[in-house]
Amino acid sequence: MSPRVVFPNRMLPYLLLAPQLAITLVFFYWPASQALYQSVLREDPFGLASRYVGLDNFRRVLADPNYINSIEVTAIFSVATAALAMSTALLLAVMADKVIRGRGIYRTLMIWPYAVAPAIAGMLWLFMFNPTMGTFAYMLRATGYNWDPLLNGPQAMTLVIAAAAWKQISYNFLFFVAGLQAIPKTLIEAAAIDGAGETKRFWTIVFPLLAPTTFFLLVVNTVYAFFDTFGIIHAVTGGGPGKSTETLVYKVYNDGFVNLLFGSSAAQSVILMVIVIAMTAVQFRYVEKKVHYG
Amino acid sequence: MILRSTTAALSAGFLAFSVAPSMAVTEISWWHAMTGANNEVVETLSKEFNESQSEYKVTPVFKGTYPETLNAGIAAFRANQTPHIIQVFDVGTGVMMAAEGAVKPVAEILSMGGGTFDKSQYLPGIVSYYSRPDGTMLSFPYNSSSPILYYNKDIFEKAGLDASNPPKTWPEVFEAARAIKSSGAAACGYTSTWLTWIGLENFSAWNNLQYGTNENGLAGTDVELTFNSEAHVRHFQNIADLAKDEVFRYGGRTSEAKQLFLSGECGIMTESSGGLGDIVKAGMNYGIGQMPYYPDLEGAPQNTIPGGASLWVFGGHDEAEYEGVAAFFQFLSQVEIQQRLHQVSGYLPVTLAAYEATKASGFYDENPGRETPITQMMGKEPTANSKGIRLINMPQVRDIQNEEFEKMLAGQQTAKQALDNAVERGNAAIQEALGN
Amino acid sequence: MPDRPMIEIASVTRTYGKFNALDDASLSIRPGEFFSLLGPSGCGKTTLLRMIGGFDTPTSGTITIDGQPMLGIPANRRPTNMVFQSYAIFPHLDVEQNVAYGLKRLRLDPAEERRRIDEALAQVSLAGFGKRRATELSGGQRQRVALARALVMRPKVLLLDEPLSALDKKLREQMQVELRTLQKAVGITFVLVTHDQYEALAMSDRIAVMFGGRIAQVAAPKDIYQRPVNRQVADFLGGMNFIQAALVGENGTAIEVETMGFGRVTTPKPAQWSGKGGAVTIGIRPERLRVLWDQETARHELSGTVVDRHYFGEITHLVVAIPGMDAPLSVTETNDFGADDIPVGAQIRIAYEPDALVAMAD
Repeated sequence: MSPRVVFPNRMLPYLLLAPQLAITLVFFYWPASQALYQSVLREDPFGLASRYVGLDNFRRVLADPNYINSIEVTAIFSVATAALAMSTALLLAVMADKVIRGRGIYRTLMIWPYAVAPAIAGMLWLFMFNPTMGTFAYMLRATGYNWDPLLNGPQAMTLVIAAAAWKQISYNFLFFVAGLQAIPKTLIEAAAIDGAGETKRFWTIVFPLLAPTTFFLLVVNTVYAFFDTFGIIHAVTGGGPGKSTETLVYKVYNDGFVNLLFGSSAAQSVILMVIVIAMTAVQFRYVEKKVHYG
Repeated sequence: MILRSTTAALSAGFLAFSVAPSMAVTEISWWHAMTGANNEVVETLSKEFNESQSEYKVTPVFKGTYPETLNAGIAAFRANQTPHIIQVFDVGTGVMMAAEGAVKPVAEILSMGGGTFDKSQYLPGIVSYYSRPDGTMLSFPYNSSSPILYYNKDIFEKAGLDASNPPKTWPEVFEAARAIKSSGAAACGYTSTWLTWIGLENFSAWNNLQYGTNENGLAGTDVELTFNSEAHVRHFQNIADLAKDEVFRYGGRTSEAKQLFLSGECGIMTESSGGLGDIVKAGMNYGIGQMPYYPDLEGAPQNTIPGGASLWVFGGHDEAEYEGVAAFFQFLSQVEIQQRLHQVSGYLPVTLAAYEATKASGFYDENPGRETPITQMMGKEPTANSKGIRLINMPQVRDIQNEEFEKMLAGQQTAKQALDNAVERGNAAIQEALGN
Repeated sequence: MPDRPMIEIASVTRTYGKFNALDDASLSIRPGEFFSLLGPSGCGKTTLLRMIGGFDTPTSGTITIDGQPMLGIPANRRPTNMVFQSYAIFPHLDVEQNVAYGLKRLRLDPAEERRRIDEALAQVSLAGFGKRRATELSGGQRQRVALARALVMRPKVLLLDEPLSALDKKLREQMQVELRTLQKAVGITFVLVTHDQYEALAMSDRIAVMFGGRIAQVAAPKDIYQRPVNRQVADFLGGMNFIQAALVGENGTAIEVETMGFGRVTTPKPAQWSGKGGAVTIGIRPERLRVLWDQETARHELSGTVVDRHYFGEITHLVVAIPGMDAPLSVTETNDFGADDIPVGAQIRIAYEPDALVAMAD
């Protein structure tokens, strides 16, 4: 019974869709198809000699222990980054929600890190925590703690996770603040009058009602951790020490643009594409079911 | 405001259009990766060349970091949009050399247009690095450097060491480093930038040790890496032991360790001669010494090999344009230009004449140590082990080495394991890159 | 102390910056009473309710509930519970979980908890709805869930913030009856906030009418309606004819006035009588004026001309100009004798009882 919009001209809807379709084709499908095409070839950097190798690139990639390592690194990095970025943002959002005086200023300040480019964010953290020049690194070492992310893998991982999460906190914060504001105050008061303390109110009322926001951010943060953190890793650790912070995306870059192994790099991006599609599908299929959309 | 600036930009554009075609100037594009002061040098050189004649116009274009510039060149080649000249860093040499048909040898360019190309006027250590096995010079050395030893004289004095007499051999370096640490003169005794280029590649050449077969790749692309010899293992185990005692401090894969020296945390450092500028600017009481060597190794010290970058010329352009490139390279080879580049930037002079002129000017007497990188490289006729190192996938092999070194320095493996792994993984990577 | 008030509000003031949301309000609510706070929006009724519930704090003055001063006691430690205007049903929980939410804190044994949930749901006629999701309920059902959730906690005082305003007219009227019945059954003191005078009149034992942060009058519904203390209260509760009068004499409890049209009248003194000289306003509700048919006569009658009429189905509103009065009178007449057939211009006679005339403070 809902009113249906009827276009007088049959072509008009397609015309209206055309710009979006063109952008999608040019910026998404075309590169994706190029990656697919490259992934079945092996050629020298200049493309002077090129031959079809079928799935050989994929076979090599999947048999490479470094690639398996990279998957593990990515899993740890993504889960930790998303968890840290989201939990910190939620904590800050809950606290900012309580601030009455100067809440606008707090919120504006909180949003700033998002405007920082990933590579710059990486440099900031590098300057703070690089053992050769970082202020915080110097302070850490002064306390006797052997802070050396250049050689200590877990420390390097901690550093890139912190930097990557820091960058994303603002974005999450914005959404959590909006999500918190969308929860009617009377629900909180109703819970309060029923005797629930602040912590209990949060976990039994606020958190469940934030679930749609949380779920949305989970998807966004996972994709962020997978792709957008390249600049940070590049600036902070360069994938090292060893290969302890080499995520899948970093490996795609490194193999493609430093090592000039285009076939392998393309095969890796195709695998990455499949992983992300699968993960998003799983998130929507299973996680979303548990989410209550008020 | 927007309208006005657009108008200004438009009229500026028209101006450029209206002026340019009035003379049939041949445009030469030059892609480079120089930033800061070095970028200014590039701009100045182009400007001076353009003003020195009216036939050609060199337009420098900054393309990002060394790897980014190389990638831009590769992408341009694939799109048939190559620049005439591209600056490629030392480790990209193998990549460019393998791209036969994509590049035009510089020797060929310089002998074009009736000019003659006399290879002997260039510094042999540098020329051999950028030449084909048959001796054909492929690229034009632009900025070359060589690793040397820097030491902090104040720290040396505090540690009771002879500040006017830097350690010459590795055992002496290690001893001095331990003395610095144990005396409390500094938190760390020794550090090094570029463990790959300095610690492994130059270490091999300087101590006349084989890095890989086929003259380290200069004689052919099918290289088997051999840098896990007993001497190599001994050296790296020494460093690993120092790292364990915190006498050696690791700074990073490239030049990050320089900060450790500049901040006075480390007393001794091995670093590129090109890093001198920063050390001078820091105003510290420093000294320069030769690269250390192992006296028990036969032929050591041999000669060091250059790092830095060279200018490559892409194929597929017009004859007239190549003549312009040749003119530009001739311009760069002039004694005054090279002399100035050498003295200002700390890079090595490319021609013997420029070296001689600098020597005659008394520059080295005023700046002791500045000659060291040149004498290191020129001291002896290069052997099969010391002409240079050229691998089709040098960046990848260096990555592998760095990864293994980091595990070693973190105490996860011995020097032998690290070098064995690096050789094994490096060989596999080379074979893959060769398409085998 | 059986006669101790359930809620004692003493000189409570609440200011927001320079704005007085509540100005020196004092009130006493008895145990088991259905008490309404009535007034237009912004009159301070909700502010007062929220202060009783502990969601707001008086700037000055004290609130005592069941003998306990409430200063500094948070909402969850007061013997009150609240039904919110928006119901505030937890959307992610089912009906039972909503009702059980507060019980969890009491750590009852499961059988007892079960019993109390079922009892509360039965009280609001929602037995069998326990497993429904809150989002699957109608507005009226949500209202009941909110009630059950409050009642299950067995508060001494139940606060209701415009609980029926979101319901349609029919359901609202039905719920008014149900709420009243429920309140009498459970015996809990109810404090209702409403801007709907009919709702307040229909449900309450007593009503406090508020304007601009002040309590204007506290009385039983009939007294509020019949004997409003001032024009504002009179107006808010329904139509009222205001008649100019001049003071003739007064004693301790009554005044005598000379009115326009109604002659000389004696009425009880209004509560806030200031005794200001001369002019007095007398009021009479339109339904207390009755049309006289044919030969019918009354002890007190007026005659005039119908100048306007408004038809409302069961009643008709006649506007009658009376010679000697400066404003026409409104007369509400039921249509069972044909008041809807009286045309404009008709000459009619009107009967009234002097008792129905009330003197007002302003």
